[in-house]
Amino acid sequence: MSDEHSLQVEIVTPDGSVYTGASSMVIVPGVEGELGFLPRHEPLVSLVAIGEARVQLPDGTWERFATGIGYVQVLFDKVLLVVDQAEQAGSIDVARATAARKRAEDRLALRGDPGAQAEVDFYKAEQALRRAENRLKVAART
Amino acid sequence: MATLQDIRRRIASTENTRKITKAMELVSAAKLRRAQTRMESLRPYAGAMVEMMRDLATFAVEKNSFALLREHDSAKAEALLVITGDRGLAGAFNANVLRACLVAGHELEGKGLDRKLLVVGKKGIGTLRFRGLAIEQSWSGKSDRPTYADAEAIAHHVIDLYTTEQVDRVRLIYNHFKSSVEQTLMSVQILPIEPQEIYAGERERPLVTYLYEPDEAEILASLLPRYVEIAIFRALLESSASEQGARMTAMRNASESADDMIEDFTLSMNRARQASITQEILEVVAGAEALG
Repeated sequence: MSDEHSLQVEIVTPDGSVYTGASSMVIVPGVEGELGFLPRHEPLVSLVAIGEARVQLPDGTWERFATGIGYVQVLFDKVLLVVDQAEQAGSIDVARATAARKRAEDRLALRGDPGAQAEVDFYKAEQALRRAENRLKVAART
Repeated sequence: MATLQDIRRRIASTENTRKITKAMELVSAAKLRRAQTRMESLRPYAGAMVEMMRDLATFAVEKNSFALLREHDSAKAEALLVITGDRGLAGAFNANVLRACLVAGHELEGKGLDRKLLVVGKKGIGTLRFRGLAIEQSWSGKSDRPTYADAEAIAHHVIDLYTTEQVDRVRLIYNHFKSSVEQTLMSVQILPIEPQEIYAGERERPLVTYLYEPDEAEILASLLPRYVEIAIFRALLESSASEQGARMTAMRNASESADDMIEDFTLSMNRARQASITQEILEVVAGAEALG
């Protein structure tokens, strides 16, 4: 290993690889609280929840991502984050996320209306709402 | 007999149709490329997920402790998840899937099993509803560009039906993308998950011992739904690519037929024109002779 003090990070989603690069520290939203990884961490597999993943670049700056559910695998200084969705904080479109949150809330407001039951997928609306809220939360921290 | 005017009009209208079919062919080709790229992009994610499940499964966890792996004791009902397109004009693309769905439905009826129809795509919803079949749940408006969130929503519904024992098996019927000119019909079981898919090939126990958080069984249990999602998402993408491929072929054939028709019309137009010229000459000659 050429550089003993760095981690290789890769974030993979169903729409392709979102990020690959070297890092000095990685923090992911584990299901039982945040997990931080430094180089030479022991091999680990954990489930991750919807939240914010942070990757510290070798120059000390942080890259932040709004991430969905999945798992993280750490092995030999390689951190592989496999999640259903991931978006870099800087590329989050706040207007779009706000619109998505509004749309999801409107759909959920129809719950209990028997006419809408067949037309609206409430589970999907709930997921969309959680994703939009997460995106906005991560974007707001910039 | 068609007059010159009529034939000209038909040529013009066929040319217009050909313009449309050519444009549709180009649009489908572009959409097909996009769908293929997305199928490529899914591969690393799907690969990582399945590999992780295999690793976890080597811990020989009892498969009956997982709701999605366990077969139900009795088989009373089966769900058919049928993936069609939102639009027509794609050759036999939609018809093939729907025929397979009806055949599968009859088979289930023959065995005295209940069937529940889950339909994706406007074309499937329209046809099956027209036939008077009860549709349990439907999704539409995504055959052009299915998203992973769509697959998650469908998977959630399917898993719910299975775990609440409303159905004892879920089968997925869709067009598999073989090449841009060939689609094959697929009918695969997605629930219960066939254990050999995960327990395949006596994978060796990984050389490193991971620290699992929470434990292996819990991670596997929460990754199994991802497996169903991936299967559905892949089918959605395959179906979308197949639809564009089928439409491309159909439109190319239509454009070629238009070429042939225009050729035929031009020929009969020339004949008609020649005939009328000959007629005029004959009339002039006959008139001159009469005067002479």
